[in-house]
Amino acid sequence: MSKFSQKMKILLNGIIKENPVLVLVLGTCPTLATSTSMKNGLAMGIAATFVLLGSNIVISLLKKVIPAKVRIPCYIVVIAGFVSVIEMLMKAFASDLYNTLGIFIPLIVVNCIILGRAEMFASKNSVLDSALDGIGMGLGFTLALGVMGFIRELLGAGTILGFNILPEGIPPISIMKMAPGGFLVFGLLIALVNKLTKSKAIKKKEFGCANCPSKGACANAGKGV
Amino acid sequence: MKFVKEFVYPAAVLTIICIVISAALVLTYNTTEPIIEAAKRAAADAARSEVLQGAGSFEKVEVKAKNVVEAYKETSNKGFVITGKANGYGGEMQVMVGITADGKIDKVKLMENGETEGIGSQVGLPKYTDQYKGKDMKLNGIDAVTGATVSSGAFKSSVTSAFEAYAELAGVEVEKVSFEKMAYPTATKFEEMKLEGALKAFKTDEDGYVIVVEEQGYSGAPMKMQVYVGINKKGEIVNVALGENGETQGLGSRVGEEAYTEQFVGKTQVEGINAISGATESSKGFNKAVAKALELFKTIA
Repeated sequence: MSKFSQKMKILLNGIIKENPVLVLVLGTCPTLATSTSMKNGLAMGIAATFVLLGSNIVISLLKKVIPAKVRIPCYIVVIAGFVSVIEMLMKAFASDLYNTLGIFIPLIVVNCIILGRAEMFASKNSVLDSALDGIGMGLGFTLALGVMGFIRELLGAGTILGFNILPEGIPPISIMKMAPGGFLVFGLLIALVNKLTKSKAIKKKEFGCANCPSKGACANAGKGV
Repeated sequence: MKFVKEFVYPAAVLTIICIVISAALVLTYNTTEPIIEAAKRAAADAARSEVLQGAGSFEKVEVKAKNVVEAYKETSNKGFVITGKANGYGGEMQVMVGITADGKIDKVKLMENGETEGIGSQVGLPKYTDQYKGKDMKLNGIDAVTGATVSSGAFKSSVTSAFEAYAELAGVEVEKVSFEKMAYPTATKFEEMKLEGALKAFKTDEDGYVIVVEEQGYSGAPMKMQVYVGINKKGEIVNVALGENGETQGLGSRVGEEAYTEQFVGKTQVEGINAISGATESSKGFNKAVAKALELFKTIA
């Protein structure tokens, strides 16, 4: 495989095959909360992508320097730093979005996707690969949020990006804007992606113990899945 | 050597990372802070134009009135925009009030607040705020939001405070209905008389009396509260009113609100009165004062 297509593979990985939200099932909390409208979902996705890209690069750069013992605190500090910067920039230059996303911006710090990729990928791969992974995962996150936001906004409020689509006579299904609706759409999307990637989805072997952070403490270590 | 590798090195790495990140944050903060401040100012100016129709620009003015966050005068004399505050259900509530040059409200807007979403927060909805349009400082006929008494009371209190600042700025006399009139609304003449044991007493032109009693309400209040009790010739309470007092704004002071005072109307004894939750001492003190007034009424020949 040529170098280019190798890199492309890493990038595209996060978009469908290992979509962080719909396949890895990470970052569920902000997904459900911000996918009430397409605009919010996309905004959250883009903000998280910036953080993901930044933190993946920095952590990959420092991977030889950070000792394993303190790696989690170090990752968190780096991630929190990026989130704080994004938060301040949003507050200054995109205050509407800042107000809509509210508490979920600082919550990007504990978004499993970011910490998860730092641990699973950035700490073990080159800077370029980590950057590509960050972009790919971020895009996948944004895509999932965008699609969910699209569905929930259309059905729940009759609008898309704020523009009224549904004719006056048809009342929207407001439960779609709330938690139950969110879970419903979420589950159905996961099922859809499972079906689409049936032949190419992560093989169970890839979840093996080699990459598991708890393998030191696990009684079943080495027993495969 | 092992010690250094195991303990010192990790700690050092973590510390350095923290320092570098902190430096980056300080840099970003310093760069974005002025922009954020300017945006906040612009939003505030926009909000001010929202509550005062046809407003051009504003200039900030100082006021001595209490419970006012800030006051702005519209530069072409269209009126004022004053933000009053009071203690709501979930902490301090701020209400921006647009008062036109003729002393009437153009619009009110709920600003910072901690009211319960869906309940107290309803005071921010047009259904409630539209009532204020065109009202003057007497604020008659404002219906509270059902199930959100504290929030409604605090909102009204904030608007009243805004009016007090307006009165100060416009040089207008704060039109206050006298307490004795509040205690006996149907009477027109109040003749002061002596009554042993009462702070003040009035004979009304309807053969009734208004007896004023002083009683300590909240133990932390700097002064006793003055309670005005209007009693008709049959010994029934016409109305009660809270006069000068030092009760806590938004809490104990609520014994002066209609929701509390109307419990007394028509009664000959102080019974069946529900105290205000969170204002037990003020309620007890008030009730005691009313009871004393009823006693003193019996001593009038």
